[in-house]
Amino acid sequence: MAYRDLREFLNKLEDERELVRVKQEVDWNLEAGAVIRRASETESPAPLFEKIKGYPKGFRLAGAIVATHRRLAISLGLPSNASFPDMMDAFDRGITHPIKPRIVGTGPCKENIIKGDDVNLYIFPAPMLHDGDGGRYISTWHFVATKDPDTGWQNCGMYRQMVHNRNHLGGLTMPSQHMGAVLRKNEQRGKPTEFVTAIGTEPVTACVAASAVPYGVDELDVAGGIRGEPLEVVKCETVDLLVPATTEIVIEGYVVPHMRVDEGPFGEFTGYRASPRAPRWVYRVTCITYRNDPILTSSCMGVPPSETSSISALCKSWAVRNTLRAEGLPITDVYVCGEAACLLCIVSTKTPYPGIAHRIASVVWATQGGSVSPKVMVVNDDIDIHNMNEVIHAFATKCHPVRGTHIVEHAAGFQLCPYQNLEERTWGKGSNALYDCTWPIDWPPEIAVPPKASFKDIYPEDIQQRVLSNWTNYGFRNK
Amino acid sequence: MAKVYDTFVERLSDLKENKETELVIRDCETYEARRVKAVVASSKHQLPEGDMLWVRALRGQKLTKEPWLITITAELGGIT
Repeated sequence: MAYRDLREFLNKLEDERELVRVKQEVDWNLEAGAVIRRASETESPAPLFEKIKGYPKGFRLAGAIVATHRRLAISLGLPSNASFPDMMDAFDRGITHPIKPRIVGTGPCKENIIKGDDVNLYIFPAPMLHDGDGGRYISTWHFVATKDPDTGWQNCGMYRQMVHNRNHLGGLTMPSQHMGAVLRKNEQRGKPTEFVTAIGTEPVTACVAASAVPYGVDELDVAGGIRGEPLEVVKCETVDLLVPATTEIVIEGYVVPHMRVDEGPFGEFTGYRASPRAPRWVYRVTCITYRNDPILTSSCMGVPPSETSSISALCKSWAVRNTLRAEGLPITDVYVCGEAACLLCIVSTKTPYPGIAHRIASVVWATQGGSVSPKVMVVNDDIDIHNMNEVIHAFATKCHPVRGTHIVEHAAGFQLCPYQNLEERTWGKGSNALYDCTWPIDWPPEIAVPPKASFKDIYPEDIQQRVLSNWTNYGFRNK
Repeated sequence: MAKVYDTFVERLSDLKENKETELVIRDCETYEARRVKAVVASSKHQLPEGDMLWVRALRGQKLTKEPWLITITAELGGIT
């Protein structure tokens, strides 16, 4: 089932007991952020703040709306208990069967229109999410769209935006990201880049914007494919871009070439504030449109769980899985590990020949989704890679500290990686590590590979069946 | 009532006390940043009429347990 808008999705979350309407007045200055953060860390329902200090009735703030696997599954129109591979399959459908959006004349996002000197970003309750953040982050669960000046391709990505003042935003965009490439192209030509920020879309669009869709692929088409029906979109007022017609808040303008203003720091997806306040891109706002009683959506990033361990983990796993499959590698599952803030990619595989873990790791690091997973762990296909007990056990018992650990120096890094030194973070220098947790295939199985002492491995089939069928008779509850 | 501002610096020693200096500060009521000329001091007796100024590192953590003091002497405009 495709949701018409954010509100329909929030109602569904409420029906599933995955949303709490917060009636009590809450301060946008740290209090709302602290509530969202704690709700994420305790996997509590998503908060919808209905009364924000200093803001008119009706101006609302929703946090952590897909910060758990259950809510992510619901957002994709799947049952709340859908498995991780089921959700990856939903993304596959979007890529393999994209549906172009349908342009309509107008929509709810045009209920209020503010242009020119009347533009004022402070009319929205943009939260100060973490103590010490560089500013109020209005865009943390949203998409920013720009167009490639050569091809006309509209890219939608999730790039954070901080309020500088009434009509300027600042943001971090890394060179390896799609919008970073577009901004640089225009800047080299001395031209501004038109942008639109859509906050509070129906849920699939934001999820796709947070994913690693290949360069040149329109995220709105992919969102249509996942939804199984086209998105209805409208033209912007002052820029040549499209947004979903039911978007809660739309911010239009242009990125100013050759202008940088200090932005950040920000509590990031890694669970730290690793990148400093630094000069970054500036967005000049020309128009704001919004629905009556708008809902601003927000993600309060930090240690997992968060949207990183749900949607980012899903999208990156999906992208890496597809590439590994396309390379013909005999993998059985991929998990870009949400518990590890996506800095670790776990792959289970058959091992038909020596060195397959190296091939797998090389492919992972070459993908957009896997390039920010500097650690790759390869395990045999008997490991459930979504079960951290099994993964840690495999790592500790099967990865030889010398022969199983393979270091790659001088790799591409990224600025937000907490363990890198300041020089590495500044220049995006990195290094990678492969942890090969597979049994060497040149070990004679009967002599060198130790039998595994688990219920499913060390007991005869008939004993296992007898135990399972008598489990409740022994006095245990069914499990 | 004293207003509350904050500023980001690489090191605390970057702030020169009791000397007019250019700074980017944020008004902690709105978090809008602006450029000012100001005199800052680390203790109340040096700038008894001053407003509060929290000094933060570039990664956001407060560098002092107590706020510094600030007196703005000139507005230099917004940061954009």
